[in-house]
Amino acid sequence: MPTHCSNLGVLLCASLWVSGCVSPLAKHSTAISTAIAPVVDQSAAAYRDAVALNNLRSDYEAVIAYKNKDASYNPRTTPVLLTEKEIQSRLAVLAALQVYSESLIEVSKGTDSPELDAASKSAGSNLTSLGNDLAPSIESVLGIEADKGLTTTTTVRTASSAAAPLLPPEARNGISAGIDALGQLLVNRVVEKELPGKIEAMDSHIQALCKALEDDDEALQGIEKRDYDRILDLEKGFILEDEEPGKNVNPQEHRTEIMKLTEIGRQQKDADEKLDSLRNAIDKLALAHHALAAEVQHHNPGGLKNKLSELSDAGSNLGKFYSSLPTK
Amino acid sequence: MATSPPGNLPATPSIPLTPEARGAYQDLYDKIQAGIDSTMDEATVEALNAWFPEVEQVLTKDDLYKISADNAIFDALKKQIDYVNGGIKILRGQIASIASDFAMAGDVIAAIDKVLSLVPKA
Repeated sequence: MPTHCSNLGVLLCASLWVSGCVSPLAKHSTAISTAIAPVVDQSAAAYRDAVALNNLRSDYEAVIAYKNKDASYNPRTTPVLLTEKEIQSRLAVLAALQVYSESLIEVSKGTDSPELDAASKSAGSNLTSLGNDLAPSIESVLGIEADKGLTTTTTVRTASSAAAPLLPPEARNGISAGIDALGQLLVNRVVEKELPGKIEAMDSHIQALCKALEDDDEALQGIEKRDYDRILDLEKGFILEDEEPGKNVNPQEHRTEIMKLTEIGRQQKDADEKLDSLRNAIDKLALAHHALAAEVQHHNPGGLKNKLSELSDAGSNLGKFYSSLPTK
Repeated sequence: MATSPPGNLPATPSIPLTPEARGAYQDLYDKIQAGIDSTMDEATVEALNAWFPEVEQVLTKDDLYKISADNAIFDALKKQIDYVNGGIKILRGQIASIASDFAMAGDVIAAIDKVLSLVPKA
């Protein structure tokens, strides 16, 4: 049945085109969501770690201030690295970014809606059950002839239908796929029209956000390194001071103080690596979103627009077919 | 007690630092840190610790200036991202509406099926 196969092929290919169209958006949306998660988690931890360390350093400075009899020292005016409001303003923008990523995934899912699937399957099944009543019309639309010699076992054959069903399961499936493809086409037309502008607008914001996050990360990394250096230097000074003749420091306590140095050194290295990792995550986020923006801006020749264009041609035929069914 | 940094470096330079000034303060910082790390003499460590913060605070003020500038950027970005998110939310509504219309189309076909099944065959 060459003609039959040809028509089924159009329907199934259209369905594949739809899938081809959906996948770049879904793929990039998932990539962005994956890229955002570590940035959000690690940023929140980085801000709070930096503040906690800076507070610890302030405690050490208080000891030095008292040792030097510095009357200007006032614990009430000790500066805080980042206020809670400043941390919240950063976390709020990251939360907004997560909403954006989740919305993109929802839109991707919208192009592959379970409701569309259910509706199209129902339509294909109903068409089959119309049997001889509607078959001539369907034959006319599809350009197929009933295959009298068809022996395919079908689950839609009933006891009352003595003749072989004019629509074999393959055709029924093809119709379902075609209707589904048409629905997805309409969804994708909305996506094609509206979404690129939003993603393009968002890209400049995300690049600016990533730049600000990287600046923050770099500044925090410098401050943290110097905070750790200062704590280590003061600890060293305390230890050497304790070794002065006549201090009579408990040897065990003295050893404990010395061993604190290595622990602080490890913490410093760990904090530094975490901030390196955060910067790496920020880079990945910037790249992931830029890749999506490039896709929707049609910079990628094999990207969204070409696929949607192919789909639109296929969908036009599908639309004619679908709208013809009830009137025949 | 603290004293001014050595060389030509001012104790209170204008912030933000130029890249050259930043490099000079960073270099001085690294040298002092290396000095503290390389001695076990209590008097030397105490002397270096005494005015090391003068250098360190210049670098930290420069970093805090960047963080402070970022505060305004984050607030502005939050508003812009929220605005785009609002647009995408509307888009999601449109997509849901299309899906809903198609579910209805399936119901219409089912209804036609029902009617035709009641029509006596010719």
